[in-house]
Amino acid sequence: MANEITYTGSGASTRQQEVYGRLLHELLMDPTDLRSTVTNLGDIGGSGSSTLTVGTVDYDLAMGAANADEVTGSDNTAVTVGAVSISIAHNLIAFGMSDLHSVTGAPGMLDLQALAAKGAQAYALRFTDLVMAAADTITANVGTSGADMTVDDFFSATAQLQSSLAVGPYTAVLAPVQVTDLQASLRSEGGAISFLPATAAQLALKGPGYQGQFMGCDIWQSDSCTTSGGNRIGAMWGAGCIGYVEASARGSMPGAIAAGSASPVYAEFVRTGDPGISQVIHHAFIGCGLLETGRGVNITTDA
Amino acid sequence: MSAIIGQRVTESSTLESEKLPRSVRSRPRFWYIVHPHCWAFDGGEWLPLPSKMSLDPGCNGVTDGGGTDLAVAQLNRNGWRIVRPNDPRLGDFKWYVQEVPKQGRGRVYTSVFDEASVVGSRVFWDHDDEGWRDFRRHIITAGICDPITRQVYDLEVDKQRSAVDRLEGRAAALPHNQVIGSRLVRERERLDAMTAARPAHLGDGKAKTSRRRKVKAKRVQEEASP
Repeated sequence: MANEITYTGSGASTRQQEVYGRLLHELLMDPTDLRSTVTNLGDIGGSGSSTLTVGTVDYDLAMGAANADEVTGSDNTAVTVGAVSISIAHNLIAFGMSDLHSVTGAPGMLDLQALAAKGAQAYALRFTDLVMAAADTITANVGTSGADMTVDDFFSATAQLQSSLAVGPYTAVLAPVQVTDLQASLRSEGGAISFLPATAAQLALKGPGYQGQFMGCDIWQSDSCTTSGGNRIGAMWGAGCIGYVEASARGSMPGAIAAGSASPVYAEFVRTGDPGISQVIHHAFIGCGLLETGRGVNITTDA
Repeated sequence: MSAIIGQRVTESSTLESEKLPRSVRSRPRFWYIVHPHCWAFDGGEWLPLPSKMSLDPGCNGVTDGGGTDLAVAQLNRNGWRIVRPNDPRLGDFKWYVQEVPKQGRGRVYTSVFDEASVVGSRVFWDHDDEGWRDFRRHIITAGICDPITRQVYDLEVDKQRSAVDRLEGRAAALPHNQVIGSRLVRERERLDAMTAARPAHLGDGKAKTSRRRKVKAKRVQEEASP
């Protein structure tokens, strides 16, 4: 084992600092949670398979005029059917704490319960990474390699989605540097263009990472945006572009703590008597994938 | 008296070794993928714009054990071509993925064109732009990626022309705005450069229909209208 939180030692030790400081300072992080921006394809827990195959059907089938001779049939129209498969994978995070650290703890200090509460956040972080990795395989692309993001790139992205008939609401997920570049570009704009920053109510509703709205498109900031060729790859998508699958175990694992109804994360506490380490381990099963590339566009600009 | 033999401590085996700080998010292993639609005008030439196929279990069909068959099949179905790091045609660019050591949980995989330096606990990423362009040129000449097609070239030029048109409209409405004015100049220059750098294999720009790719149509004899 490694990385246990201990009373003594350096690095992972927090107790000495807590004794003197009486509080913990959380380092900067990006807690963006994109679950509300993508399509939930359901729970495949107990389905018998770790892969969900979603059928795709082309219903772009307009009626045609009947044959003019009134007696010749039109025959059936072929319906194009395809499929997208998404596999779930096992994800986990474990925290271990030494006995000396635990027994010397006082209310308000770092303890196993505090770490147990971080399981949901760890899941959201993983989820965001998967969504942005899936978005990297969108084929449409706007922006200029090596150049800062501008309002023009944003216009180009919305134009791309509109021209491919992608339905809203539109969501843009941009790297932090892209958001600041976009705001800098907006400052030079005139006319009726305005950026609507996130209000407290919106933040409460949409969660951390939400930045506001521009041209009716929700903007999220995430450091999970991928990089390529010295650029950051943000993305904009409409409904149904990216989907995800979960498998909730519902605490059915022996020794695990029952998860809430339909919660994909379950936890278990493990005790190793020698040398005296208590662990909390969070598990989740999730898969994420691109459903339809035409509903999204990547925004490639300077990192 | 026997000597107690010590082991030489190398930098890589000490805690002080150079590693990316904990704050750097882990990045999964990846393969580059190329698509006929993904091209960019970069450094005065038309080059493919590779994306990454993340080899992260749970992403785009990569299975729990890291199996890629399903993911590759789906990408191929959508027109992507995989640039496998072990492809001998890559020559000097073979094994283009590198692992950068990182503190804490996870691993960081980047391309060989990225280099990280830690200055005062902050990470700075340098990118070898010329090497990246060489790589993209090489995958065309090595036959891993097909050259840009006339349709995609026209589409990219049209996108740039639309961006110039939008800027012209704004510049006309806000003639005093120097930022928009200078951006318009820059984008016009870029459009001119894009058309000037039209790849030779695309010909002179007149649309031609090759016999091989022609969609065969059945001749219909128009009936006399009643």
